[in-house]
Amino acid sequence: MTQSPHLTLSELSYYYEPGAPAALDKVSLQVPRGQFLAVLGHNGSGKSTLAKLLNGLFLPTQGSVTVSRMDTRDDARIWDIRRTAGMVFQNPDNQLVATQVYDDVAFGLENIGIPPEEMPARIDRALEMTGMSQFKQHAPHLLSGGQKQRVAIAGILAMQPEALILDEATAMLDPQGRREVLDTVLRLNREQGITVVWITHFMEEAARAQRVLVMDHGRIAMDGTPGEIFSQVGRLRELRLDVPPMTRLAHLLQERGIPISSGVLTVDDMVEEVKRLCPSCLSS
Amino acid sequence: MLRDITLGQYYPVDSPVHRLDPRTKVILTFLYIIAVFLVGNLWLYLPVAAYLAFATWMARLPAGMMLRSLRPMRILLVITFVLNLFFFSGAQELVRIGSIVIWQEGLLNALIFTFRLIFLVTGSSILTLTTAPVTLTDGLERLASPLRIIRFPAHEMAMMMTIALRFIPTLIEEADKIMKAQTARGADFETGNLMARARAMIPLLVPLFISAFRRAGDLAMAMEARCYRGGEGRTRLHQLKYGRRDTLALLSMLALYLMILLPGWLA
Amino acid sequence: MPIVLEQLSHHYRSGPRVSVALEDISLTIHDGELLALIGHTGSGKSTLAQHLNGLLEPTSGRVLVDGEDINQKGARRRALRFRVGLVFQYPEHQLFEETVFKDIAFGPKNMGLTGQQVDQRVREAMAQVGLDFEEMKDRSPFELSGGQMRRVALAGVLAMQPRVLVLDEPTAGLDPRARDFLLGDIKRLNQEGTTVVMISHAMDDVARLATRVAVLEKGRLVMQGSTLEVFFQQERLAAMGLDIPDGFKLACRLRQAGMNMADHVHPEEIADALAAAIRGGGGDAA
Repeated sequence: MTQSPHLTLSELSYYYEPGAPAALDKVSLQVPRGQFLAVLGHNGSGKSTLAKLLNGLFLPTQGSVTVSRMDTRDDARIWDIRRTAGMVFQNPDNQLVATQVYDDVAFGLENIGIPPEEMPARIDRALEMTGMSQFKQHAPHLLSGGQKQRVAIAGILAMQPEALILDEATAMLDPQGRREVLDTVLRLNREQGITVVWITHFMEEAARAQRVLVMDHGRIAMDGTPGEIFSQVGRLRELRLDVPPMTRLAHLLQERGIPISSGVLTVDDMVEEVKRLCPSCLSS
Repeated sequence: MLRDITLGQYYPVDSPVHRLDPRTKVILTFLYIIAVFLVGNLWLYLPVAAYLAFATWMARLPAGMMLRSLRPMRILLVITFVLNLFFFSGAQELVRIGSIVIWQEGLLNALIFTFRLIFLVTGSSILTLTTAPVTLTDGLERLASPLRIIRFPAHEMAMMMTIALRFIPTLIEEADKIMKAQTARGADFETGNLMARARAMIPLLVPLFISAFRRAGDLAMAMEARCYRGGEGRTRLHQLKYGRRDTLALLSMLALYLMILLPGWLA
Repeated sequence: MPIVLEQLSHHYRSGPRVSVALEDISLTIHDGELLALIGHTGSGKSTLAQHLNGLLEPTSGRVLVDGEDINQKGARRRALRFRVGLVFQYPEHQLFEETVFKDIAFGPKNMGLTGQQVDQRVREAMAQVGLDFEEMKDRSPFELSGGQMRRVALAGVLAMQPRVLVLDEPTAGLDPRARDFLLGDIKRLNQEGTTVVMISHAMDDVARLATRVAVLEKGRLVMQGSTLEVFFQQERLAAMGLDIPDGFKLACRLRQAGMNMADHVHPEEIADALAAAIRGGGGDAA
């Protein structure tokens, strides 16, 4: 099977109002099938706008967006596009429609006209994949933020998408909720091969992606692996971003003359580096 | 705390009435209300009372629950009774206390109108006690769907009701939080006359409204992202099944009508 | 002006059951300190915060502000409550006035201050959060960015000039830059004399700012001490589902692996110690 890119942005520009500065400025991007792409950027960099253009909620002012070779400007295919590329938003509450988890996951299926007999199997599978099976009779307002987001993801999974776009889906969650959601999505990417676009401002999350994009003023400023991106501490600071704590520490050590690798992202990485630089420092 | 609010009066047990198709129950309630209004003779309330007792028993509802549904009405019931008793003049005097007269017709009317109110309220409460709000919304939508021909937005109204039901607990929680935040800034929601208290609500209502609008915007986008495009072509997870039980229930209503109307026809 | 919680308990009914939100909490908040309150979601942190300014009344136990019971009947109550400012999570959701000035003025007005005093308070509060008075005072709060709205909400509480400031997840939902600014403001307020109680999940924030940490678990106070003392107990914290800052985690791991390294919480100090250790090549580091 030809691996044409799953998602393509072609010279994409978007203006919220005519005459306003471009929210996105001639952005070109190709996302291969099955990739886990993290998108970083300060507020106003265009990352959220990018998300909404990916599934046709916004249409390009110039340029084009293609999902599985379907153009988002094609009216006839817009619903197929949204089924193929599902989207999860920032506010966990403002995505859930029904009074019970089970019914909410069914919402998407009802919209695309799935026969009622086929629904229970799909719903159960989606809840299982997100670890929410035991909550199926619960009312949404009784769930934690992380649980609500997992229900939202289940609602998308039931429609059997090929790609998942998450627009700062963890911004309003506590650390445990954030972990739950990221672990779930990483697993879906790994086991089901679902392409993921993960928009976030948490560096530790971007560090777990395969590829990281950094947006600035509507353009792609940096594009590479987490190691490549986070080693450029100064550049990131200019772009009003942070780096994972261990990368910051590596930078501080470099300033103190220690030749530590710039690709350090986690505590494990750092321990390895210390072993390498000073084997006698550690007794085990 | 506030998170455990159960909505509406739904009493969750299993009974033949609970298992009836919601459309049947809506139609029954409608017919029942008309039946109650058709009663002009005090004695004909007996079959109505019997029917109500039968329905309550079939629905496994505690009798006390039915009486409790009358509590908010008690002042109205007293007023109805008293007004009719003292101010309805007729032909036959019953009691005379000084210059105040109670006519026989007055007493009869007082009883008829008061019982009418009682039966109306308790009877229609069976609908909400035995039908979960979402099921009721479903039933109303299906019943109203033929009205689509005259462009009546049955689906949209049902969707609105479901979403409202879903968000009521969330909004209550938010209102509580806003109230606490403003109280922490010295706002006083409790003291003062009506005007003062109304004005004190502004710091609560403005943020709540703004938040509600924002939620609506977010929700609309999320629904669109999940391929929502109105009622056309939508399938339903929950299928309403009309069965033998429903036919029996409707026949029972027919029986009630016969009991109420026959005496008049035969006379 | 210390706040003292004496065996504070808070029970509430939810339907037929009685739930325990807080159980037997005894804690002193010292003048001028920056205390971090940490714990799992549902551990009772927010409930505890609402007791500090009298929004909630204890089921048993007392809350003493400057030696007086904050829940006493009578006129003293309001005055005592104004000494403790409480900023809720996502405080920008409580903004309601037409202009930034009017919203920030809400608190001082409720305190009964004169027009001139209110004006003075608003100016000072805006300066404390880095909002330009002339530029922002007439703007609608709703046309501001998220970070600016949060600062307006914070100013609204600061304008009441509380001696103690209680903040519930102050950096929730903010991007790294806005977060840095806000933490800077909080640190400065503390250095200028305001006692701060900060509820936070962000362990890095706690490491940067807090002098003392109190840990809540299922409504009980299970640990309290200096930041270092509390973070030291990594296993206990992990068992409660709580994390510690990466820098501290690293120091613990390295020490377990045999490296001789002193305890530090601040990133710069850790870097110094680690650099010295590596240069020393297996010697000791201070």
